[in-house]
Amino acid sequence: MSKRIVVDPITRIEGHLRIDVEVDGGKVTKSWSSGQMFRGIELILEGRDPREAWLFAQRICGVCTTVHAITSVRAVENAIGLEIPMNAQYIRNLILCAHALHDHIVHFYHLSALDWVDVTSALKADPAKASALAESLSPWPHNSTRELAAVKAKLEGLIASGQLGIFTNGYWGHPAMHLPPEVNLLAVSHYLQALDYQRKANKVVAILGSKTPNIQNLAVGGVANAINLDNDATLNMEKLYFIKDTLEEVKTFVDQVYLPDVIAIGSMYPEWLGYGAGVTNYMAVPDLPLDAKGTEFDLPGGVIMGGDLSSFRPIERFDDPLFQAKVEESVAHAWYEGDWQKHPWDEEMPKPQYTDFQDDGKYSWVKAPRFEGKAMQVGPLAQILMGYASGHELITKKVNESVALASSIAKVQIPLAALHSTLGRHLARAIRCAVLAELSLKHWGLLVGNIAKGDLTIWNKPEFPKGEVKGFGFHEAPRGTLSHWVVIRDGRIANYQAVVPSTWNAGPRDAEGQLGPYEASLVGNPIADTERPLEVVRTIHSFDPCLACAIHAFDPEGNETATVKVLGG
Amino acid sequence: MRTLVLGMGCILMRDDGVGPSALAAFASLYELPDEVELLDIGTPGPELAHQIGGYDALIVFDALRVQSPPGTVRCLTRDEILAAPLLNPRLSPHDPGLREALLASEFFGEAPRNVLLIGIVPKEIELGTELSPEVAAALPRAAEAAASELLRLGVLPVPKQEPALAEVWWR
Repeated sequence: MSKRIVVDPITRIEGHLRIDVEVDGGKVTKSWSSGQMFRGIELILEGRDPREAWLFAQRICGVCTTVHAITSVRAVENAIGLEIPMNAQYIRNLILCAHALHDHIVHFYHLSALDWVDVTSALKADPAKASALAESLSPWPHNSTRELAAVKAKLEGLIASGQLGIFTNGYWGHPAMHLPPEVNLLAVSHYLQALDYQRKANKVVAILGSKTPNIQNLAVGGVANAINLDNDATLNMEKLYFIKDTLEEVKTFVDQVYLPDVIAIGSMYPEWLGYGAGVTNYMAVPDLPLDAKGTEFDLPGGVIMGGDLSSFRPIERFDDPLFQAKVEESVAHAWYEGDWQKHPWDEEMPKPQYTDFQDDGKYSWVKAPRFEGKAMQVGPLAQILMGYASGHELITKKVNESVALASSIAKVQIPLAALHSTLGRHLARAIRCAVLAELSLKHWGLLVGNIAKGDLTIWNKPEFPKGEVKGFGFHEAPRGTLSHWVVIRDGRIANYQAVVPSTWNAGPRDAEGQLGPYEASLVGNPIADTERPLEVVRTIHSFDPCLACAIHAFDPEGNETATVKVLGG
Repeated sequence: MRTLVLGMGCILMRDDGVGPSALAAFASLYELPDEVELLDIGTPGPELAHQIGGYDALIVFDALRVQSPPGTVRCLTRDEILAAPLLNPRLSPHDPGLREALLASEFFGEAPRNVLLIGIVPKEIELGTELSPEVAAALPRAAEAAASELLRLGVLPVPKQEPALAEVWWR
């Protein structure tokens, strides 16, 4: 007898996403993903000056401000064929790296680690044993018995106060939680330490961007960071060396804590390398450009179909014709009139058509993006697979080292194909974070080297022609491929669309009934306890969802709604 | 008294953006000492918990969903914020978790001791950058509430000689 579980909302802190699953025989047999995504940016921007579009676009989401800002200026530059100075390229690249380091660390420790780590079990840990275990995995200096005992005491204090505080919502003692107490204690300790390191990474964004969230230093044509090595008010040697030191500290944390933690925790849940693959068509866009035009990059982009790495086709340039031609969005199962599938340049503001939740009809505010008509999974796993398939040296090395370490801890040979899974997404994100930490220092060196050559240029003036031009800009954001699409007529915005990563992953079915990545990834997941569907949360969180970011109001009454409803059966 | 004043909300969703508008109004009406920092934080996720850490006091301008006429200004203390049902899920996405951010910040051991939410009841939450007239009219009252809170904390906000509500860039 099948049961239906409605989980609503699923993100622990961010916005609203509803997941419905049907469970039969202890496994998910059907699933639906429904959500709200900011829509209507075209109405806000229509008629405005394209040079200020990025200021508005970065307000689409309060978590992803930086990535929308950069994608927007790239889209406008693409429309008018404008190259930007290398200093501007490197400064943007440093901001992108620092933002992603911050975002990936926060996602793992503060938004999803507690799906795997039982905080209450950490109370049973022996700090000395936990310290010895940690030292066998990593040279990190802050895993001492004394430091771990202090974290345990802090947890004991929280429990003794009679309140679990921020941990009130956890599925503690769930049968699917099975890390040893010592590993749980280590993870809680790193949860606390991660606070400082994500903040350091964000500090780099704030220095270069003047402010975070909502950076202020961009311009169509470059950046607004004046460079004068001897002037306190500009980007100078002191600030540059502070950035370098900070990035090195963050890199040490990623190499010695984040990546080993994901490998160790993952190795203790080997069954989760077998669940959650879902859609195995992947897409990533290249990023960290190395030239003014955007034809050479440090991060690889492309598409892979059906999980077959030999099907890799590259996306290679900011004006890539494959990407430009093949992206469409479908509203067949979204609450808009019609069942069209259109290219972003041709989309108009869709007319809402709300119908209640219809399993076989319309059930989400999110559109369903498609590439060559196929649902695609985006995110760090996609980018890591592009790197592996294309022989990217740094990515290949990190993947091989990580899989080897995981295999030795799990005492079983883990195949590369295990990356197509719930835990594979976490591992890929940690690997990407380590790759970015290394590349951020490379791009710091490129920036300083370029300045040392005497190049202080930061901006090229944009010129807008009479008549119509169209452009698109992309960025491989922390949650995956983000693209903005702009139509400019006589120097004013005529249309604007943002196709965001969580739309690719959280989107509903299309006219052909193809499931979106969230939906497909849930099918086959085990469910031990229908009242507490921890497994659903694990798989969805592995994508790093970010939805319904567009409004905020405090509600002191807290409308009563159950988190989890079990229907039927 | 290191104090952080936040403007929260989305400026693209009309009255939802009243927080950043109130923050801008506050900055245009008062001279503030260096120990007071202002931040238009938009619609944050977990970053909220990380941003508020380390301050002695926190003041938040935000839209407030209560059954009162649009433009009503109502202040909630730390205890009132924490008394609201914890992590209680809802169909509405209107909660990025001020409660959760305060609790996380407490566990991190760096929570502000003084917290005041200055809530303004919205009228229209829909696409657009203009505030409804009732909500726009509430901005000076919201700014005054923040000034009173600073005085209570022993910080002196000085009303500007020729006060004028600043134009914000998004309108």
